[in-house]
Amino acid sequence: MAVLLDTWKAARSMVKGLGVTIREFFSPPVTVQYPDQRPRISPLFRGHPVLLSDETGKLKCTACMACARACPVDAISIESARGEDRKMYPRAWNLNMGRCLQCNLCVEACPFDALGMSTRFETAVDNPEGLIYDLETLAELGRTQPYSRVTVGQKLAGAEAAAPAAATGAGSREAGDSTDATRGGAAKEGEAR
Amino acid sequence: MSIVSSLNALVGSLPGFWSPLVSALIKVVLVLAFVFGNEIMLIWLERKVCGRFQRRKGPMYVGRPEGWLQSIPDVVKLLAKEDIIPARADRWLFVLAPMVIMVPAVALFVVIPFGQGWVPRDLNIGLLYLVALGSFTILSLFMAGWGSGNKWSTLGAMRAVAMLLGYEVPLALSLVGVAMVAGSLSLVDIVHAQERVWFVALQPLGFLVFLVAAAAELNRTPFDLAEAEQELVAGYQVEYSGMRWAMFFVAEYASLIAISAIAATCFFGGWLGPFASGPWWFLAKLYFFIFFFMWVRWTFPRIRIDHMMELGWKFLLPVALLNIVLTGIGLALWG
Amino acid sequence: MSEQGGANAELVRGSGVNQGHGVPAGREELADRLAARLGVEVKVSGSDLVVEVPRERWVEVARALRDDPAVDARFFSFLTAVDGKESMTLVAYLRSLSGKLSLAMRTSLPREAPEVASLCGVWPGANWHERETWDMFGIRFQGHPDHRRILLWEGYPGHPLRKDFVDPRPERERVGPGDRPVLLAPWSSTAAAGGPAPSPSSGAPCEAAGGNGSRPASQEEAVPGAGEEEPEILEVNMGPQHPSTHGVLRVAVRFDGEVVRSVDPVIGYLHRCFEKICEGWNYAQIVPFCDRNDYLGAITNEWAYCRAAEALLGIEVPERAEYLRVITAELQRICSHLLWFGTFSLDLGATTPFIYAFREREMLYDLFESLCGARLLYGYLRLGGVRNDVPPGWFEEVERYLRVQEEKLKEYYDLLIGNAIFLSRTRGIGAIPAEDAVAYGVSGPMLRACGVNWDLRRDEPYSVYPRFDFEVPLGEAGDLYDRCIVRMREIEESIRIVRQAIASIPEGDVVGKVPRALRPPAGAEAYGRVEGPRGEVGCYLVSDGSPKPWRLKWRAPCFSNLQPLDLMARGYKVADLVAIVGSTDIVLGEVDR
Repeated sequence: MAVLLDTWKAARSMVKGLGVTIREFFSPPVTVQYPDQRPRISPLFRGHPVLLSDETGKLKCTACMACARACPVDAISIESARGEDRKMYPRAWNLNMGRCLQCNLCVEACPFDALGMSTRFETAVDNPEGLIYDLETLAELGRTQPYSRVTVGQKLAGAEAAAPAAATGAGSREAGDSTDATRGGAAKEGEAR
Repeated sequence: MSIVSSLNALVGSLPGFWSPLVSALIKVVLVLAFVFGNEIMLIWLERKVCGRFQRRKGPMYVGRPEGWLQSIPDVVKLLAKEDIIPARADRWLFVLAPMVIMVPAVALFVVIPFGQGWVPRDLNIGLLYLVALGSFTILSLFMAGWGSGNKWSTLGAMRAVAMLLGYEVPLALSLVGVAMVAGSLSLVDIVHAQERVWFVALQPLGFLVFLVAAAAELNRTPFDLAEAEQELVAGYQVEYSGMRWAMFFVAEYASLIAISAIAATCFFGGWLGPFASGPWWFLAKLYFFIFFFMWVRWTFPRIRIDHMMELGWKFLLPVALLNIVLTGIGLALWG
Repeated sequence: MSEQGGANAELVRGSGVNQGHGVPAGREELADRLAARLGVEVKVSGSDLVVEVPRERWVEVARALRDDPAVDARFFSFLTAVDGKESMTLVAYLRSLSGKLSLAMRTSLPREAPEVASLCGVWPGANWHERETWDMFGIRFQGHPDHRRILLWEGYPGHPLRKDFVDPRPERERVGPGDRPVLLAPWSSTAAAGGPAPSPSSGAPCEAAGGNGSRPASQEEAVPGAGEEEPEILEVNMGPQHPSTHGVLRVAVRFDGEVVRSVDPVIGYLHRCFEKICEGWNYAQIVPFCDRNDYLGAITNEWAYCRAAEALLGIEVPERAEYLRVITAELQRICSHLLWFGTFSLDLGATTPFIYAFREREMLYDLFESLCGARLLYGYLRLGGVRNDVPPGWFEEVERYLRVQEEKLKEYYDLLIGNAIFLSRTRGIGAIPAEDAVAYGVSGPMLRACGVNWDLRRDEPYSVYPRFDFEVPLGEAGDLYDRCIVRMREIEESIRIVRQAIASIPEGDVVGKVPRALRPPAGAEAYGRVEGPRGEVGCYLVSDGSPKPWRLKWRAPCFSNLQPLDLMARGYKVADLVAIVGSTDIVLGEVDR
């Protein structure tokens, strides 16, 4: 008798399993057919850092090296110089994408809002030297790619939930500025001096 | 069917020596075309069906829109691979095994009736022929495993042989019930005997035993132990590559079609339908069973070898015997 | 750098990490009583006890702590060493589950040729930890049954975590302006400098002393058909390239026909010297790297580290941040268990549940992506709180996901867990007795499946967990089926916790006051632990007063969970072995660090 009961239960469990799969069979596929269809990327997606420029098109970076010091894997390498207006500027600014782990510590460390985190994720190259981004590339990407700037302790405004603006020369909306980060008394995360 | 009768007339008009030869050749070509045509389609279909069960799309690019040409690059890839025969292999066994496995896979179709008159050869021992040929695959697996010269292939093959032998007997016995009700071993007679009611209603136990035993004979999940020995080491196929391996693969799909055809014929009325009987009904039932075996494959986990042997010998065999007894009683009471 | 970690370190009061819940009553009395009974120095640090043991009494005191009913330290958490400039400190963390007590045993060893008696006779779980300490520090354990390296290979030049270790690899070079990037030299050139070609665990064991139920540590691998193997016992390598080992793990199996006779997991293929590298980073920079240990449980990893670092640095975490940590950690737990479910079903031959589980995981990826910008390795926690607050509408999306997940759980039951074939493959297989599990330091769902009622969230509560109402699912037999059921029920409980947290989360800041200079007091130590999806994830930090940690030890639950694999797998069939390895839910990143 127990054998029959076990058999019945076993058979029922099989039928239930078949029922689940046939129901899924008639449900629409969830595949996003990349690259024909583009995936939905959050505006906060951490792609890679980019250099931001001000309204006049000049880079905000002053080569203070805070980001290079904050980076745990030495992916950032900066050479500073003094310009004619006596202000510091970066003569060279290299990012090694082969090292970068997209952790956002550099963006958080920057006191001049000069870095943003781009949502660009298609960074594959067929030559390892293509993984080194130089200053011009990063500045151009900073002007054209959607990016976000999230610093520690940030309260996010509503714009982040919207789709990124079209990538034109005007750049895209920022996800809040550094003044938010100081709310709540949070000092900038940083290294000891 | 007028096509059949006109073909018959054409062939019959040939001189006496040629007539049966040409007739046989035409049938061979048609059967092979059917089997291999379906093969190519089935490789693609399995991937699409598997995808749909898993809420994804399967092949999409080769032959847009639905990747229907995917089989072509698959075949080309297999043909282009290097032909490796291991140094320790028994050359004759190794080379013959894939050929031997192809024979029953295709020869099974000789007795399958596709429609009224659409049967290559209606043997009056049709069922017996099917069961006998089905046992052939076991021989081939063992040739492959032994001939590979690899201890793990041998072990895997022995396991597969034990499994298949254990399920041959219930398979045959389930068909005995069908033969008893139909009163004949000929498949055409069996279909005719289902004109009033299909045998699945008269032989429910037999049908269930047949389904389970057939799934085991096909080496498909949940019974794919012989292949999924990649748990530790791959099975009898491990030393085969390229086209030789493809023969095993093709034979597996051909057996799938054959088993589905047998199920459709013996239990579901073959080419008969409530209206407009014909080969289309047979094909519909055939594809339904193919779909069913794919459905089972993508649903269940794999069963362990000892549970499988228990299932075959301690469950299926008694049930199949019980089915025969009940069928006998039923026939004695109601004719 | 005047004070370093070591036996001379002064413990900062309150650095034992149980913030906000006070020191349980009776700790001081217990400490005094123990000190009197054992004749050793016992201090209270936070809610933990620290027992300073003279080297020659190491095993004796260990045994006393285990057998004393007032202490009942039967759970072996981890053992490691800290290399001070003058001496080495050996630290063993134990736990009493009945007394909800965590205690550390410490002793001081000389830096040259350090030796101490092995604890394997007291807790079998000490085996791998002592092997790792030998590997990393060069401390010899007398009486250890299997004294070989575990993460690195025999013949590796040196012991990496020692402070006098010289890296045999060439100096890394930065990318300069206009320069071509310098890639690391290929390994072969350094292998020539350093030692023989790597082949993990090859070579004879160092001290195959008997006396503790020593297992044979044979290394011979039988090449199939080579004719060298014994007639009955065959040794086969499962891995390191294998579809079912969930990472690069090699399991050397010896079996007799169908039956497994012994199993020896060989690890170290994914060793990335995390602990050594952390000695070169400051406290803020370490957070993103904790993700990479158990890459499927990123939030709980970061949390374990943050608890330890916040205790050292005296940082308070605001309430809202605690709630956010709980919410993300529980979502992470669901995510991890879903992946386990999918891969476990793959091990058993069912490919479809894997895809279904990943469909739900995709929704979780999207949730995390809209929260912190990453899909797997989140980098969301920061010292003092979390990185950013939730975007508007995020909680509603979480609720939407939870509703979908609840329905799909029923589907998983129908499709796989209730299936007769699944039951036949998991019931009664791979069980480990509860006492052995405790002695090996097994934690998490594997421990609870054996019926041991221990969950850090409830029994050593941290953060805001005491405010939530949740159950801790328990199994009975400790077999594969129970482990599966425990994990599935944990998903349900996590859903409950997330809902409660979202309903009651207060407004406020998401990060507390963090000092500009992150310099903990010299000699301070902390052991921060949380209940991760795989068990007790812990981070043991020792500070020397500089911005970088002197020692960081990662207590990986999978390291302890994988150890008793031999116990679990002996006597079962070959096909079960894959299922048993799968049921341990190991992540090799954590096992190897």
